[in-house]
Amino acid sequence: MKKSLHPGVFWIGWFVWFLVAPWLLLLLPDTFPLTTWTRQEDVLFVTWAFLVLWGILFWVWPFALRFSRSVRALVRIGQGIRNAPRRLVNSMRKNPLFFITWAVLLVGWQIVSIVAPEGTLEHPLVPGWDYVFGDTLFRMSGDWLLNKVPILHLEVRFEELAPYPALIGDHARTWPAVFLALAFHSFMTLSRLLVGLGIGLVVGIATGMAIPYWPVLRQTAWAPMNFLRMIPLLAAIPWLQFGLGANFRGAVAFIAFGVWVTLVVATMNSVANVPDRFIESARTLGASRPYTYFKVIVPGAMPELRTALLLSAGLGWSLTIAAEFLGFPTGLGHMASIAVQETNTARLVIVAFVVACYSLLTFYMLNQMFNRLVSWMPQRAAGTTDISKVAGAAGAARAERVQEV
Amino acid sequence: MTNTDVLDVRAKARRASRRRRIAYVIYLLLGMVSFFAIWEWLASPISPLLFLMDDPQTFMPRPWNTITHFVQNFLFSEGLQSRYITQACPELASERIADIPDICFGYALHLVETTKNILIGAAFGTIFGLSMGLGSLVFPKIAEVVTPVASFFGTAPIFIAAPFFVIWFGIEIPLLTTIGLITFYTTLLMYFFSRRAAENIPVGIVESALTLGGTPRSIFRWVYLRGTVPEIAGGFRIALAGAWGLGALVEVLGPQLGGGFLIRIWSFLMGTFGAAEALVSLTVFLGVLAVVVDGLLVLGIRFITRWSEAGRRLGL
Amino acid sequence: MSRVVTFENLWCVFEHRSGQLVNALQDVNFDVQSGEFVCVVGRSGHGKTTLLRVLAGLQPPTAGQVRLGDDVVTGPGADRAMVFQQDTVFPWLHVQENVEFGLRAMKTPDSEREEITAHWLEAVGLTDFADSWPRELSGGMRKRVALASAMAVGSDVILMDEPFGSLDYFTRRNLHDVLLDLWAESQKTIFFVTHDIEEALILADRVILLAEGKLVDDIPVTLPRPRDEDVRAGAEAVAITKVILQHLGITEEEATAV
Repeated sequence: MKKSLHPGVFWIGWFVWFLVAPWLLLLLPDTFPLTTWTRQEDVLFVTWAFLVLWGILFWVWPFALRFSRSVRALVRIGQGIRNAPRRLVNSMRKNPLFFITWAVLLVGWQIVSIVAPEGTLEHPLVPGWDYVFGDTLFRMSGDWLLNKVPILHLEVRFEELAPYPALIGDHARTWPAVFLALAFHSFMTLSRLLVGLGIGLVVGIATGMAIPYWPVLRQTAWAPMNFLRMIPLLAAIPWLQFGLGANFRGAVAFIAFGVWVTLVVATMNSVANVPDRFIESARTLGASRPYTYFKVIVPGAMPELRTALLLSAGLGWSLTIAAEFLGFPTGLGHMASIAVQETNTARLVIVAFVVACYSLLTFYMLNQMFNRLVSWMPQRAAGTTDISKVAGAAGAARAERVQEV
Repeated sequence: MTNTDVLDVRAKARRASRRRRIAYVIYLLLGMVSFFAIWEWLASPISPLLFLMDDPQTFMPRPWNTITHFVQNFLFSEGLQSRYITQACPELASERIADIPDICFGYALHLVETTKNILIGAAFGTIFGLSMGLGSLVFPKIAEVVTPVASFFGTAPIFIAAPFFVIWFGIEIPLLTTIGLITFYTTLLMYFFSRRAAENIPVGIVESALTLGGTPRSIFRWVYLRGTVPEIAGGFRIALAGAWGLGALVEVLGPQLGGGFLIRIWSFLMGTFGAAEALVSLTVFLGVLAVVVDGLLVLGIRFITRWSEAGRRLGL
Repeated sequence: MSRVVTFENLWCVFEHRSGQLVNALQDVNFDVQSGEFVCVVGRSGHGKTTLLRVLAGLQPPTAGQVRLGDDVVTGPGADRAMVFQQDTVFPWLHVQENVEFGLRAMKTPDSEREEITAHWLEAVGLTDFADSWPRELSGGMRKRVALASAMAVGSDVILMDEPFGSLDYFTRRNLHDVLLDLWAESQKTIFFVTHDIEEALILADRVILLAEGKLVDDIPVTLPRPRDEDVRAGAEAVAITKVILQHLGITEEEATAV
């Protein structure tokens, strides 16, 4: 039977291309017609163009093909939409406490916002939902201030892109500008995070796999790496701001370093935890040391990395948001810092909500990617397909258990 | 084979195991030496940081300078305030001057403050998280209520919770900012870790306890409460390791005391003499503190879980 | 191809965590002719597995040596493939890739490799499962995969460390038949460690008895094959059983009382 390409190849190729291709543009000589492209911020745009392109190439296109071939799938989607209300009612009946809890929390917050004293501040400390998603969200159109964005060249492009330039004052607020503000700051945050996380993941796993190959290196690296892991990197963000500089490259280097440290230690541990019996079995079957390493130890160490992957993604998110909060003029973290300056809880709620959605998505994608990599693993325990259970700190704890099953 | 041959064989085995122990120490020393060597390289004129910044020597201090800076300022940090006023950016100084108390205490006091806040927060969080996690074994309804909410909050990067604490407590009760955030974070983690620990107790053991006449109360006390200790202890170590960065960062944002507060002040002074040493030494020694506390924790965990194989492995 | 396996003055001493020294093997000496089926029998913790691991080259002896023909064993190699007690089928490789593992490691040409793999997959009856993941197989089937992997590398000597210990009785009996067929066909030397006297009687040409790391007896088993229940209930078989029980420190009364 013909074997299909290992899914890992696809993902690794994707990552390598995604990371390397934009930077290749930086190598172009100054005389090249597209020199303006070699500016760092423009590289971001190219990066995202690649992202979208590859997305279309590998995801949208095959799905479209599959759907067009099979009418039944479309029918199923239609049925799903039609059945959604019924399923919602069913799940409410089956698990009423879930809905009651959220209802109590949301309504309780609203009641507190009404009862709480107004105080002397401009914004309420506990804002009602109407205030959060009404007035405050609308005011966010003020964040679409291109003259504040230190990317002169891009300014033009953004204004060409959307007919809602920077305008100040209540009368100038528009809902599309709210969307553009959120989209722009999300774009900045996600660029920093994804590139940093991507570099950190690839380099971290590669280093962690390479170090234990030489026992001397492993034993030497053990103590310093474990110490590095314990250094609270979040506390070093002021250093990032002044040392590396509050720019894209500095942020990416910092995030990548944090993710790298976490993953190297975790990978070294998981290499050490590959059961001896597999290695001994390979050796008695005549496999050489390098062969055993690549065919037995590397794949055998993968399953244990799930927890570390999710934890390092969480760290990457915290580093990004905190760095933007303290020293960057753009990004969701910057929006949060404006909220703190204004003591505006409502704005903070919106930013936190958006960040939570993105991180949920990141964890979900990482988990999916990981599942593809370790498709040979024994079936996972039931009930773990729930997104909320594979994400974040909760997911890390959960995933470790799943692995053991 | 004669008797002397046997003795020889035994001596050989002993020698081999002694050699292993010596090798362990040698590698430990080698690791430390290479750690400082790489650091020295990063601070040298041929630093690889040149790829990332223009002037690495200004921002990456040499290890020896970092350590001496820390030692000199350990008990008594002289003139930090006056230097702040005279040397830091004047407009910044006039803005922030009200924030700075008269600093005559050294780094030791501030690091103790950070440690205290983190430990108090972690203790409260552990109490809340464990009582919810283990309580849900007795009253499953607790899990139905708490799990979805905790999953939602556990999903967001924990730092995004910090600004809420800064807004709500930062002005009136700055102490609560750090302790509150660490409590929140530890509660979430310990809730999940305790649930997981309970789920990992083999069904067979519980059933066996039932057939031996165990009542729900006695099973909770003698099986769940005892059996989950190693995993909960391991979870606590993970939670605490994360708490250091979080605690220090919140201090950078709000409170007027603690290691993070010092980092904030020195970052205003960035570019002046000693500022880079201060930032790096504070970060590194927060790490040392984390390692020391973790080591003490390991000793404690090793004692209370001496019956458990997993607990013993934790101690390694 | 066939070579004699020689154990010479073999000593293996371990240091216990407490610092106490444990003699896993004490001065073991014996030879095995090629094509023999040798069962190593003893109580648990009395050096059976250590003996096999030294022969496999996974454990260096403290003193003495093991020779295969004229070559001294210094490390693991494909001339002494081993089937382990635990599940050692690589879960990240398909069944066929598992069987091919050793051949790929030795860079056997593709056509030859495919031929050998197909042959051994058929011999253990797993041709239809060549493209399955190991997780989709039962425990007994995974043991067959391990057996085929060991056979496929073409070693003279096959080492088996209580390979069927974790299986149920029926699966084990079934695998005994498979193993004896493979042995008859390939004429390889087989070292089989077990604590089960019945298993030893079914399989062995020769039983090596170990007690406290010492070789205490070397019993030839000349029972006619196939060794069904009647043969094993015969006088000769019962006599061998009694000798083994005696050496293992179990008197006849104890044995029957249990």
